[in-house]
Amino acid sequence: MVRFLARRLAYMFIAFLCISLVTFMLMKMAPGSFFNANFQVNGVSAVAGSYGVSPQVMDALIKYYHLNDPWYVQWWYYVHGFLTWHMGTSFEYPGTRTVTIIDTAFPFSVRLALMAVATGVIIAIPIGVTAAMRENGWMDVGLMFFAMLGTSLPAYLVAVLLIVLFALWLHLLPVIGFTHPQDFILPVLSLALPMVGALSRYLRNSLIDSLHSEYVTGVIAKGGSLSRAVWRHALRNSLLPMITVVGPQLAGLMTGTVFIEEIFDLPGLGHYFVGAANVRDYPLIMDSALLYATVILAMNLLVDLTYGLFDPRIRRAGDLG
Amino acid sequence: MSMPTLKKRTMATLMWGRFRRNRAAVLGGAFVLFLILCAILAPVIAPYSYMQSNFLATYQSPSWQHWFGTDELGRDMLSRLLFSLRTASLIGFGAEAVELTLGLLVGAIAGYLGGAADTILMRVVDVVYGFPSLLFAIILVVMLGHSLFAILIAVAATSWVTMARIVRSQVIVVKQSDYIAAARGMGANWWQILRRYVLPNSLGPIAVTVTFGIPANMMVESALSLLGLGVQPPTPSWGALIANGEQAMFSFPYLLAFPAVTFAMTLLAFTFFGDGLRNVFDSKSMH
Amino acid sequence: MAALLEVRNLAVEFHRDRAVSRAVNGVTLSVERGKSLGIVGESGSGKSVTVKAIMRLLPRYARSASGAVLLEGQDVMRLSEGRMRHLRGRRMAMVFQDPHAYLNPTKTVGSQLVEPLILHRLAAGAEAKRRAVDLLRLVGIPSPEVRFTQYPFEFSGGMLQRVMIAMALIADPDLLIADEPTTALDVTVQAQILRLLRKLKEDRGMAMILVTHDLVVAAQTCDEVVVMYGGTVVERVPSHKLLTASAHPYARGLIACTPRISNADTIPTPIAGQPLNLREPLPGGCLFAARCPDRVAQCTEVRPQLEDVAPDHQVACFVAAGAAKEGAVHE
Repeated sequence: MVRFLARRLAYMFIAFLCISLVTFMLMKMAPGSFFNANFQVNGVSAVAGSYGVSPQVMDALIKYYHLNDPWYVQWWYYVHGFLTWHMGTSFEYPGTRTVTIIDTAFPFSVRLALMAVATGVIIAIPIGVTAAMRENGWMDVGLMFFAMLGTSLPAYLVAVLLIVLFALWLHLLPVIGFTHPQDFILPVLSLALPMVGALSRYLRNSLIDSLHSEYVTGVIAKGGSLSRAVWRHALRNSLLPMITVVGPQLAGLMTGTVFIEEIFDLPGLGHYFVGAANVRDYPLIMDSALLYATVILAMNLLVDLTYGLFDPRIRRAGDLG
Repeated sequence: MSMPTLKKRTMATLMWGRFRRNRAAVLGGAFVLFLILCAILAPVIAPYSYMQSNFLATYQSPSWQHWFGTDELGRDMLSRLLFSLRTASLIGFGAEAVELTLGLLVGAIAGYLGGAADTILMRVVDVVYGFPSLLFAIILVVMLGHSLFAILIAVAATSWVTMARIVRSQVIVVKQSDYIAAARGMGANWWQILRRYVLPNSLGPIAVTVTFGIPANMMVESALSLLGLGVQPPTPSWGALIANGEQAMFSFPYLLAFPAVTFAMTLLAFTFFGDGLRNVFDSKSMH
Repeated sequence: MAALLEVRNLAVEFHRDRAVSRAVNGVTLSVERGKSLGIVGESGSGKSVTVKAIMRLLPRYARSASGAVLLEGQDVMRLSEGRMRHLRGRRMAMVFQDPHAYLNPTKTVGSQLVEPLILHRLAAGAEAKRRAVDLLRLVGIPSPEVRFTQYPFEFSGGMLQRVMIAMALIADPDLLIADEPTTALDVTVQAQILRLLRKLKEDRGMAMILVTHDLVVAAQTCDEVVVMYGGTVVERVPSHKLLTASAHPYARGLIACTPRISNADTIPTPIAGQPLNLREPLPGGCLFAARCPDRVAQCTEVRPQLEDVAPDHQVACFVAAGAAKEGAVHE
């Protein structure tokens, strides 16, 4: 368990370094980036001028980003700044440090994602259970057909389809705004439904495997009902592998928030990220991309860890070690 | 030499029979074929030019002249949809070709050579697998620009690792089987073994991965253009059409509904087709 | 005395992939309170399916084509699933072959042990735990309080089978069905478990059905034995006569290929031919006719029914029944 954890941590760290290196390199290579400027000392003021930045500020920036040092030193400060939460200053919002934007926008995105996960799991469990208990019945076939629809469509497309259905056709739910609880129904559903597809399909198959296993016969032989066998026994065992499905879904969910925030005009990090991408606000792009990447990496790690918590065999082994 | 061909044919017949029974998969496959034809023939079958604006006919509701209506510049939506299908297919299939090449190369080399080469390549794959792919694509597009080629690279940049992993595991399975040992005993070199034995046997999982990879690539492409980071106007793209439709959705809902629904149908067709394919190959491997 | 359980002409078919498999083809048997019945036969003889059909634990693609299972006169085949649940675990309980497979690996042994009490609303909480721990002690599990909180994987096969027995007994059933309870266990543990089962049956005055492929085990543990072949009962015999005086050629064949201390110097002789293929239509006559050394012309035409050959001893065989009648005439 400990070795496993150490290896996972090492992978995560290497992946993080690679991503930071790639983003850093791209940032340096990008046309119009002021990081370019330090290669031609004379060009500094010209580039700075094009951004409307005075030479004094430019000097400060050069000093701040260590632009006169070799690239690996710059990279190190870039990573170091990120790790210590002392990131750069936004281009688009001059004078605003990216960390300020991230501090307000990121929690919003995380809340959105968490609501979506909770909703997704809550919807997926009864669907998976119902389908599994009526294996190959019309209910099962129907539910799994809709689950398949969910798995094959990305969140932003689900969002658009939901908008068409609920807002334009049925006039039921609001599309714009983020103050009332009902404003969040469509965004959260858009993120949750693709998850529901994958989760309920997985849960159904895993439950059916369990229902065919002997221990469920054992529960029935004791006088238990099929639903008791499912809810009290099989479900618990099926939720364990479901975590491995939720994991990759979470990563997709984080990227999904980017588009959902864009479509529903929600003030999350994704919204700023897209804005930054469009105006080439490199510090904001890089910092938020790195943040997203870190969150996704961390979530993947978390998934691996929770996997252990659900399996008593692993847990007991941990006690001994 | 007639024996192997005979066996191959019966196997194919068997698989076709199994596939045909899955109605959703057949329908999906037929629709995929239809889409490919549409994409290829777009310049021929499109009723109008995708960029020809007509200020006398803006925001026309669907009619016999314009089946899917017209947009804010009076451009025919059906024609624009057909050409976005072309863009999506270009990226979808093109990026998949890149992924396939890269994945086959890395997976086959890692799986076949094993040892240090395998370790190093798979560590690289593990690291890339940890990359958040869509974000990475966004960063790449921001840096590389919005040319079709740049988008293609951005789409393929992280997704090839899935293919590499699958190819590698297939290669290892086949490599360890007895008939490879027999072939090697008869003096076949590694390239012959790879080409004659390993690749044909890995065809199933690879075909399934490709079938699911293409719509995934299309998704990334349209996601990029939804954010305004895709192919540049006037070249139409589904994501751009959807983003555009969203602007006007309350007044002209069809501008949003048509691109969204057709795109959803495209993705579904690929999924059902791929699902049927997977069932066919799964049951084959069970025998 | 009326039988506690009576199975009349039970037939079970499995329908799967457009193929029919006739697992049980007319089984008749009965057990009285306080008595034990052994069911023996080769694998595929339908013995395990028969007892699972009694508990109605067969998978959905199984169909009970005909017959009746009467528990104190009430036909359990006709009960609703809800009523059936009240019987399972409470009136009749089952011990399975592989205890590791039949327990949920992710729940503690204790929580699964008290489940029958909770399901049948007999006890809950501390009271349920007390009864469970007492019972664990009774079936011979050391430090039952500790064991109560452990998971199945922390038990040996023999210990876990004791847990299964305790679980079957906890709601005090009238009928205990043990389906090959010792097949997965070591020989030494096997003897302990069988002794425990016999003792519990006697102490509690319940009825027991023991399914086994081992004739010696059946003879030693049970009062009466039925021998099954091809999903039918071919012989019903008091256990003390099983090894010495069984009449059906199949039963005698089974005994001949069972190694025993008493005939250690003779090489066991296998029964010729293959077990019945239950996926094909059944032959018209005796199901064993194709493999039978004593076959006569009648055997391939008419299916023999169980006939008395001695008190409490019935055989479904023309040759054996004829011989018995002749013997009776000669006496």
